[in-house]
Amino acid sequence: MKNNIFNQNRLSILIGLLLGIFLLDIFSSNIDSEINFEEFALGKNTKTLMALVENKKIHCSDLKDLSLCIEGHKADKNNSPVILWLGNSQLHAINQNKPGNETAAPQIHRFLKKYNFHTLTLSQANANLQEHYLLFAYLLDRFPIKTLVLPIVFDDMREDEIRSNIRRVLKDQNSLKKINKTLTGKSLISRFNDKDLADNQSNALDDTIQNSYENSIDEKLGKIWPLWTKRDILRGELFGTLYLLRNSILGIKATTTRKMIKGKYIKNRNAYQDILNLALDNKIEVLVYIPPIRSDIKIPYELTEYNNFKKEIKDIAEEYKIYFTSLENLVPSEFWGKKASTNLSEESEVDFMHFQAEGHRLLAEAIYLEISKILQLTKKP
Amino acid sequence: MIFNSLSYLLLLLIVITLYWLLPYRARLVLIFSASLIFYGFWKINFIPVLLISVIVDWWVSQKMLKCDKRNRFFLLLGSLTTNLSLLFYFKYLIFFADNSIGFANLLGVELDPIAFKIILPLGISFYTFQTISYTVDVYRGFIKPEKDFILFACYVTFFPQLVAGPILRAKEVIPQFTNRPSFSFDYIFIGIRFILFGLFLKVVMADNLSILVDSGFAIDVKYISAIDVWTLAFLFGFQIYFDFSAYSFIALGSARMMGIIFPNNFNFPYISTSPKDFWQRWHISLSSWIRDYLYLPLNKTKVLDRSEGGLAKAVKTKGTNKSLFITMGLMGLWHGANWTFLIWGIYHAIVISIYRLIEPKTLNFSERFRFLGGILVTLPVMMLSWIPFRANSLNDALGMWLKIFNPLAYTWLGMRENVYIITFLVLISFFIVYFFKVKILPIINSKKFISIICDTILITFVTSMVIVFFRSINQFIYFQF
Repeated sequence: MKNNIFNQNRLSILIGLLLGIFLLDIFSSNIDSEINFEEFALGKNTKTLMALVENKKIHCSDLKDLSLCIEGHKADKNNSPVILWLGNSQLHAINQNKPGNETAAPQIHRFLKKYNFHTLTLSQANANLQEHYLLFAYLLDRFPIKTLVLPIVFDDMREDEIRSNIRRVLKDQNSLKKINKTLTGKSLISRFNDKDLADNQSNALDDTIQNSYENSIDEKLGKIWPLWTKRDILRGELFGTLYLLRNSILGIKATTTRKMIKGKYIKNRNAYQDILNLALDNKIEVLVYIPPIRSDIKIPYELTEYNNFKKEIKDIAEEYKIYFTSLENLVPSEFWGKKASTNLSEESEVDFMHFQAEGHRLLAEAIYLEISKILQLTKKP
Repeated sequence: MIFNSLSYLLLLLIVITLYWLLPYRARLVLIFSASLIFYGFWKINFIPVLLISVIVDWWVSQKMLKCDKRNRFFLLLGSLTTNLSLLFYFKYLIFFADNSIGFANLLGVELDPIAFKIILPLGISFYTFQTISYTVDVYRGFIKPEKDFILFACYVTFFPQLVAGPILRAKEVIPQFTNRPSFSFDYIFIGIRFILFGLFLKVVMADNLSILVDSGFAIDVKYISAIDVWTLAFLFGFQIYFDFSAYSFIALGSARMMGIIFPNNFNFPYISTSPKDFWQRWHISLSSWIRDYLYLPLNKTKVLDRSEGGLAKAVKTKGTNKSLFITMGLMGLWHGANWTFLIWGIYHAIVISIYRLIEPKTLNFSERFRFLGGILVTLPVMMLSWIPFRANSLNDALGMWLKIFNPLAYTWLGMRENVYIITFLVLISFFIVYFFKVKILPIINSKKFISIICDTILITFVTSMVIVFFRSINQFIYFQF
């Protein structure tokens, strides 16, 4: 009897192991290894465009591709002062994109180029202000920043994850010196960096033989087994399906009201103030704006919360004596669009965040207008 | 080296192959060398600390063989002093210094904080307890000292259990090194099964829950609600359970592939019907150690001398509350040099004291009522204990605990909706898995063909999930203890 059970054991383990690998191989063979998850999340109606001007990158995401933007700036031989524009996917996504369309970033870049300013845009999907704070501290040593343009998005006040390509800022000693005395900085250091500090180094994997050896085996395995390198995509597909499934079961849509999350809101509000302090300390002018939102239908926020948010952002801007404008109603309804379904149904949904190319043109003009006041420029775009 | 890494799987493959091919002596050298490589992969400069512990306890045990009782006692003291001094230096010195300075400042003596950095050697709490148990057992006359140094070193450093247990007794492991059974593929396949399930619990469950837990505990206590406190308590309770039981599964599986059998370290702890039940299901080897080397000796009661059974006997024993509080407090501090861990231990001591008072009054209730009622009461009580265990500071822990007594703190939510949904799903899944194991599995196992089909589907699912999520990004939580 004992042997019998063991034989069953052997059989099911052997078949299960092989079948698991075989099924994954089949499933992954149909997956495009170049898939862009940002595009996947935005849906087929919306296109991501990280702009180039004269073949030089002027719109980057984070530390992953920042070196290209640094090169782009270096190509300006006279080390032009930088207008830094930080934001979320609104800056790099175009709804119902057509060939030849462009986002606001390259348009502003060209307007200001005439005055010898280099406009550099960094944006990430659902970027929160703590991420902007880290990036801003990091970029201070890398560019001669003249003006910071900062949209404050209510939706992103619900976020507080720091993506790995921004978390790397916490390893940069110069950036750490800039942030380690602030509320946001202390909180981020204790949350992400303490694992590597002396009191807890037994938990850190960096700089261990394990780490370097592991990377090397991982790389070799990826070369001989294509599935290994596609696992990121498989994880993304799995989480994407779970997200759609959750929304279908709970009836969640793009129009479903999203409530403010107080703890995260306060953290992001603190980060907003820390960004302003850092900018003022470095004599950088700041333009803060409330970004355009689709206003022909009910917005997916509780109105009181949203109004309080706008008032608070404005009040802080006034307290710090920085430039503030609300661009909420800038883009008329015809320049917005729909996005792919956020649940398992095929039905498209309203997109509150990403507008069409014409919306980007309006945004570029509005931002230019504000910047020209700050920089006392004379010509119209 | 961590278990959820390709380097470990490669090392294991090499060691298992050679282990079954080599003769006795070479086999021991293989295990000892593999264990040092395993340890050195993290930081090679801490191997001497490990070896000091091994050499001192081996030497002391040899000397004990030739001594009278009085000198044996001094040798025991010497061994305890060496081991506990190492542990104190690496684990508790900074905590002790910081608190002493804080206390002095409180008394008006102005002292500046001492700025020194001490890195905690991986697994020091585990191998220190293992060597202490050996020397104490030799002193008590429970075991004869092992003359073969390499064999003894294999017992202390055996890589599957070196850095996070289970904490095993010499008499359970050493004979298994000396008497290798004849090779059977069953050892390999059972080992693979354990390792697969362990990796699933770690890379699929624990590592993904950790993102939500870290984010939740990073929120300022002022802005989290009572519902958030409960949610985080349950969520971390499951994260640490999956993480640590995953480690134990992989340790059990790795040892089993060499024909070495370790006792179980976990047994569905959240299905416990009482604190007594919990302490015979959770981290069984540590609670058994605490029972035999601390609690029962404090109560001058006969020890059980095995790494199974947990603290159940200690919970039921009508020992003094003083010894209970000392035992649980020290067990808390064993986990880390922080007041939060002490509070965790004291909390459990209080729960056990209350249980001792209540338990006789529940004996008249029906079995079913005791079972269901027991789970409903024990589960939240045990989960709440994880708040100080995970909180960032004592202030945060107390602040979070206080929230649950504030009715107004139940009127809002402070985290993303997903956190509540996932916590609920994990809780429900846990009970479904338990129900499946206890009620459905025996029925399935009685039908051979269905059993193979179900098992194959399960292994297929587990294998594919492990491959997709396998990343050596996170250490096991217990590595830091």
